Amino acid sequence: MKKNHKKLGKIVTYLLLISISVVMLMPLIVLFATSVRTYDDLMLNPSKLFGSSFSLEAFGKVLGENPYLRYLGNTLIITVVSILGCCLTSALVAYGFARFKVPGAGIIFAIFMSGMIIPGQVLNIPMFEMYKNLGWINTFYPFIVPVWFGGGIFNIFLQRQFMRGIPSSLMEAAEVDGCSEFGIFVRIALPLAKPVIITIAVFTFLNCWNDLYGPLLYLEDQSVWTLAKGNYMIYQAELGNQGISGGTVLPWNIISAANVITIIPIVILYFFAQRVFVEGITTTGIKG
Amino acid sequence: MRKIKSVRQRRKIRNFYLFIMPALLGFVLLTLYPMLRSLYLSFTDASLLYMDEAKWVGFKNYVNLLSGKDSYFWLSLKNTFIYAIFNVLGTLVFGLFAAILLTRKVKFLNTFRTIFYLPSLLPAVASALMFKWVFDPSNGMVNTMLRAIGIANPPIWLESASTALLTLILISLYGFGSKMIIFISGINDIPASYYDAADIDGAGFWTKLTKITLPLLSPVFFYNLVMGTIGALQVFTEGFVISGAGPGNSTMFYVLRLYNIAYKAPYKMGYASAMAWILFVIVGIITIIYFALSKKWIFYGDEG
Repeated sequence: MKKNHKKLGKIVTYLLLISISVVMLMPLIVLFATSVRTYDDLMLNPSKLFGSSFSLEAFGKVLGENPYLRYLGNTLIITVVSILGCCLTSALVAYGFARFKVPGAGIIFAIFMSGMIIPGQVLNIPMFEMYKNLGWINTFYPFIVPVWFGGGIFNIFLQRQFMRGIPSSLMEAAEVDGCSEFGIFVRIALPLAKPVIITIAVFTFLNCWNDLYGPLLYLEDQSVWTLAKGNYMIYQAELGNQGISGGTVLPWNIISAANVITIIPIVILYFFAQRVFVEGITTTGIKG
Repeated sequence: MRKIKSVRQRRKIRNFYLFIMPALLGFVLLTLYPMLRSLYLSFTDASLLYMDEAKWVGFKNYVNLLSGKDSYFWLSLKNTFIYAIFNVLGTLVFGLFAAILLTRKVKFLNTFRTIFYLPSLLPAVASALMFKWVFDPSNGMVNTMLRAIGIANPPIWLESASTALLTLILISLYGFGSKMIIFISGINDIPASYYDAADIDGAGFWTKLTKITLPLLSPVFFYNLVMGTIGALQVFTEGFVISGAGPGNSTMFYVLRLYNIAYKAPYKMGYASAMAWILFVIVGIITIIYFALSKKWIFYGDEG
């Protein structure tokens, strides 16, 4: 009796898992299937989920008619510098909080943390004004300079949680050996914090790849667009073309191909850093 | 002895401030200054076209917004709240549900986890455009399938003012995986001894779930509720890319409206700053309410 009950539970679990999987995968499958259709095939049978053609025509159009390698390069510059800035300065600041118990440190940290609830909109307008006055429109500075100022409150929080767990005897031993405080940070704290630094790097990567608001504000010239903005602008351009030509079906094969190009690096990142994605959050103690 | 100690102490303080200097500078330059500046701007008629000659207008911006003179204000606030409530609750409930399924002893755990989680990591623009196509009324996947099972006149989703917001909410649930992954790690952190003890007492799946798993997860749930709400109230990309606030302003979100006011002619930055500060106050109030309520229903294990 009990055994049957258990078996039924198992079947229900798998049925649920499989049906959720189907729902999650279907849009992605249609996306990929659409991206390899030719436009003629799409026009002929727009509502068929899978075309009768297989061609890289759409990818050729996206890559050939747009400076996509440039977008990729721009996105990579922003991403790499952001990762360096976020990881290094948040580690530095977190080390300060974790290592030195000085009066007032708790209050300063609490004030920093409270900044987490400030909506970006409150800060964006004056920052836009500031960057505009500095002549930073159409440059990467609005993206790659601020990351060196603490690298984000949440990242500092994660690193501090982690560094608190480093035995102070390790650092005291280094101190006795005549190591400077910065030396202790570089030689002991930083290597030990590697897991949390990798986690921050991965999530910074995602944020940079995801960001549309920043590029909308600061990156007007096509030569400085990122993948996210390029992807959006291809859609806008096709909408505009449709308005002119009066066509009934947008070239979704081209838009889908652009989407696929933006998505693929994330998928690769996921499979390379799967452990970080899945376990990183555990070790870094979102639970406070 | 005492003198040596104070030298040590002083060096400690100096080192502390040296190490936190980047964040301290960042806080002043990139948080405190912009905050005060936008607060000031919110009481002016500033426009990007004449930032320096902005005139002080007192509470005029706030009055215009709150009194309903700007009819879009309450509309966008309503849309945003509807979106936020269903997005936050939906992703949390789905995330928790999936996490419970995936922490049972299942095969292909890794595969299922990837399928559920990976979609939440997709870049917002790409995923938004993907769903624009999927929900296309005449040729999209959803309506093609609905027609195939005999529904002749399926909803037109994003094209109708009555269903567009609902569609955006549905689309946002696709990202439940990021919540799920946090719940999974929360569940895995619960000591196995709790469940072993419950097994000895003959507790079933349901008892273990409601008496052990859910109470011990409540801090994780709470964290995600607070941060999820703050994030959802600032929804932008989905509305901007997929629906462009339409049709008939039915998906006009608060931040989308703010963006249109601040960064499109006539660049009313003072007015937009007032909008930003109202949002800030709303977020602050919600956070305070959450924290006040959390004392009642959060179980902090041994510490609490």
